[in-house]
Amino acid sequence: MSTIVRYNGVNPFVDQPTPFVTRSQEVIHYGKRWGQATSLSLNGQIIGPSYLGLISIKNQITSALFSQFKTFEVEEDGFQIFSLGNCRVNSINFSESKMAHVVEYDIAIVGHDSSLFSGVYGVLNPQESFNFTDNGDGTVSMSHSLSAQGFNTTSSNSNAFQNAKNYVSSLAGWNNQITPYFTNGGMVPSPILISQTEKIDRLTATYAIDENYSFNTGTALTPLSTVSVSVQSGIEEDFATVSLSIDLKGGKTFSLDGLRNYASGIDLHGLAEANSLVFDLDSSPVSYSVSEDGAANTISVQANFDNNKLFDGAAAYFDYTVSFETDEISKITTANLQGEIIGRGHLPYKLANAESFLDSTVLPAAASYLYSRANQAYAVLGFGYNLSTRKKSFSVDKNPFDGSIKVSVSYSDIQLIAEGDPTLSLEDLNYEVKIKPSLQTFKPFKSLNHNGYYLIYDMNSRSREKIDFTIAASHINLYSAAIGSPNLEGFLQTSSDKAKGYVYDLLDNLKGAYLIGNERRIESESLEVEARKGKISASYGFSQEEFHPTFTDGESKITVP
Amino acid sequence: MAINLQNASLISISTENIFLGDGIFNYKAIDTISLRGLIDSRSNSDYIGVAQTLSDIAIKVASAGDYWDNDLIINGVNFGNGRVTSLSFDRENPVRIGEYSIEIEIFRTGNLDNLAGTYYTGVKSALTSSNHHLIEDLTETFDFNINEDGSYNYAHNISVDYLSGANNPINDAKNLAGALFSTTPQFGFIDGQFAGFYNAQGKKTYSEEYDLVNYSFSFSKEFSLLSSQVGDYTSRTSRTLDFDQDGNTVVSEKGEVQGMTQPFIEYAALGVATEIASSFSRCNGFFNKFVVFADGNYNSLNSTSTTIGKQIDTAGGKISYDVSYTNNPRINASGYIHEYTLNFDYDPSNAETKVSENGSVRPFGNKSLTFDGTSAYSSATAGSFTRVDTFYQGIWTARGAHVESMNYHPLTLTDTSIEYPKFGASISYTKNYSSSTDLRSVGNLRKVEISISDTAPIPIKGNFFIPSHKEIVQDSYQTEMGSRNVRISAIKNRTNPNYFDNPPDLTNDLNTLKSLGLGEMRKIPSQHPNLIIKDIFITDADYSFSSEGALTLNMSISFVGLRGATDIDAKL
Repeated sequence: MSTIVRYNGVNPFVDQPTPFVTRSQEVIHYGKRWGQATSLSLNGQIIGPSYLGLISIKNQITSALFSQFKTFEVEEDGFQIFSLGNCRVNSINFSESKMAHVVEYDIAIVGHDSSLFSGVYGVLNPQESFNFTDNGDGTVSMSHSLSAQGFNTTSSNSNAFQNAKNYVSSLAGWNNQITPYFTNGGMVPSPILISQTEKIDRLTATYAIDENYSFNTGTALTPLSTVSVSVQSGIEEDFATVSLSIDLKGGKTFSLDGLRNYASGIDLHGLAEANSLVFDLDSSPVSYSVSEDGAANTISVQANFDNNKLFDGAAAYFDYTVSFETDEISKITTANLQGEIIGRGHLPYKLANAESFLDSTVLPAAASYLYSRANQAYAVLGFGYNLSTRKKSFSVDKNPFDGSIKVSVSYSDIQLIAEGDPTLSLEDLNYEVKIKPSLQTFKPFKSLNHNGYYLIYDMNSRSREKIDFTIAASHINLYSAAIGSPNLEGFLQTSSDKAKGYVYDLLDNLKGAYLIGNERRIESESLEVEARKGKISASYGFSQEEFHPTFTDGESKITVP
Repeated sequence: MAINLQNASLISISTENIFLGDGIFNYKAIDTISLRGLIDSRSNSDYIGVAQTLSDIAIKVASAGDYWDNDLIINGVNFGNGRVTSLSFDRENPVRIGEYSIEIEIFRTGNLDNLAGTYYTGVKSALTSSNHHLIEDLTETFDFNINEDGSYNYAHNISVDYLSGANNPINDAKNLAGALFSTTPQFGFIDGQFAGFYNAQGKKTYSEEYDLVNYSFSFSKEFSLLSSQVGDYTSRTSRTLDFDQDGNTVVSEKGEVQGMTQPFIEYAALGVATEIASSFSRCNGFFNKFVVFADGNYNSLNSTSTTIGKQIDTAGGKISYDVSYTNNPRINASGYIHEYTLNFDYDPSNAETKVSENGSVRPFGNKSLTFDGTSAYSSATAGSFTRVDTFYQGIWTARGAHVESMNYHPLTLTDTSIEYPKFGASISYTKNYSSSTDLRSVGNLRKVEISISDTAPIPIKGNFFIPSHKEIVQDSYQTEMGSRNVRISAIKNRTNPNYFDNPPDLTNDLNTLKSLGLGEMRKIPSQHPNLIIKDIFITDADYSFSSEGALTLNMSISFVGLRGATDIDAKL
């Protein structure tokens, strides 16, 4: 029976005594048993006839052990009784001697037996750690660090680095490996990969990966979102304003399209209210901006909201100012209503809403929208009279490029007759009453021989009182059928007749107020009509017995003593 | 599977007690068992070869590892759980008898009876419930900081390395950290104000690190507090005072509020409301202390804040705010902002002074559908005349009477303009006043203007042109009558809203005009003393009234006066 030691299939000790083989095992722990390193020690003697013979044998042994990472075997009676693959020959020591006849030696061989590995064979110093840091802003940063050092498990080209790489790569990524205990409320997170680093040291067969993740607290897989809000208010602010800023990171987990889809689905209004604690914000932002960085896979959204409730649930509203000019002497007040129809949203939507509001709300005469608003302010400020429904001016300006529609209208508190007549609008009406009171009549006669002497005869009679009424009116023909009608003249005549009727009405009022003396007589009457211009003027002369204040006899003549 | 080591011939057992710190707390003990044993290969009857021994060695090598679930039995004695740290086979020629050496570690719990007292409540149970005998290393630190900005913070750090053990070391580490973080030591000694600071309520932030291979773990609990804590929030405030060239002072306070009770953001919001409510007191104290840097009297700081801004960190439970106050007198305590300018404009050609007030009134608050600024407007403009008149009289007095023909006459309001935005928020107005005497009222008549045109009596004569001689004049020894035309115009005081449907009764107004006209008639002798006037009588008169309320009286008056034929002196 013989025992043979082979390395790489070769017995280095041919014709020499077989060395003693001792073995020691180092248990490798990484938290728990990972594997074992096997150290073999070959102790023996070489025997030779001479110095050269011994050197030759020594060369035979070192030559046979020159190759690394080969299989070490012990064979007995032709049967392999021990085998250790991928061995590393660490040292070959021949003891100090005269190098004659007998020389002792020891050889150190180290190897890893795959059967003794409960960890991953071919890998040493494995590292895998997770670090969770609560950023205090609703996000948690998570890092995943992996590293390993490989050792050879083949006898040909080194696969040590490949072993390390395979091991680390197999662990890369997030697969619910660990649930944090404190951060994220102890819930399983759904992190998104933000960045990665890879560290390679091929000469030491070391490979490492660092993965940086982040996630919003909770369990849903969403882009990393940070929200900031600022609120501005004050006694001089038209509205409380809320500025919302959202920064989204898709990392390596979300595509840019995915990030866009997520961003476009954000309820900006809800987010603004929830974060600002201002719960009466208008649902549509006053303005917003979105920016994206495709390379960094980030999207930022800024939106500004206010609590403008003037829309009152509608798509547009009329923001206007009523200004009043009061002549404090005559106490006549003119009201000027000027405003802009405000819409929100994109220009076509904004303009369409403004136009709709103009057509359906502001303009219809039946709604008296403009008048009622001017009159409301007039009443609130208490001018004391009644605002005429008659427009003194009216204009509409539209700018399709900024979606604005401006409307202005003016009224006065001089009320005319016939207000509200749907068929005729008196635009202007005025009258003058001229009263020539009844006067005592005197007839002067010069003295013919005394300078400065006149004989003033009192006729002891009074003239009749004369009253003249002058009326002028201008009007707009409200017979819409008159436009383009072949019977235009007929419609104009109808309007003139209508206006003349109002002149007669006014005349009746004036007569009722001032021509109420005795023995009334008409003295003159004239009428002038410009139908196409909508103008009509009339004058009337009357006389009556003394009625209005006049001068007594004593008042009418003074004699200077 | 248990490891059963037979034929152990030499055994050494050493026990090492492991302490936390430098022998403070004995949390575990390690029994290290070193033994040598024989490998009995006497069945190798031919005494040749080592196959039998190597086979036995292979079995032992394969069994070298961790025995957390299974027992380590040596020569029939069960030493419990542990692990094999090394194994060697040193006999060089193990043909019939081999030999092995093996080292085993057995982990036992230590004696933690002294882990008690003021600072250690709960620590022992935290350890004993977390397989502490499998802890390889444990460190725990508390760091408390009182910072330059008045804030303070602490970090509670735990690092622990576990052997895998029979249990889940990750869970053990979590449980241990959780238990230690739950202890409430009265730490924070550096300043008596912060004693027991560790137990302050509030938001804690954590970081955790797990080494899944080596079972090395670290945990950190951090907490920060702003400079003061009031109930359910902590806050920090700072103030600035700015005195500008207009002579106004603005005091601003910036604050940071952090909620200390869940939900943090809601308590932060309550804290902000509280802090803003009390901010005026702080700002006013600050104002009163430093307003003295500039000379002169100063306005008090208005208690109504002019601006409020907030930056909200919902997730962080923090809100920053800034609030401003001013002593600018435009802020009215009645709830509105009133600004105005006064303008004095003297026109020497008409001997008229126009004084105006241009102003704006803005009730506090936002635009709204229900905006009503009438009371603010009324309140703000109630003193308009007093302001204007004081301004006017001040100038008039300072300039001195009759200087530059600038005579003092009382002011009359001539016109008012108002811009009233439906939804708010600022109402603009202008009130114009005039010193013109034409604006004085007589009875119900306003803006009474009287103009008089007199024609003097002229001697009656005849001019005759005589050819080849000259033009001669023939005196008649008589004088033409003089005349006075009086025109009085006025605006009827508006009492009737509609002069069309209801033309007004003019009786009183015409009597007033008549009275004024007669007055002018009676003045003729006194106004023309150079004339000998005998008779004065009315030759014509008429009134007019327009739909705009304008009234006029025209009177024609004749008077008899004497002037000599050669008297060429001015008489009127």
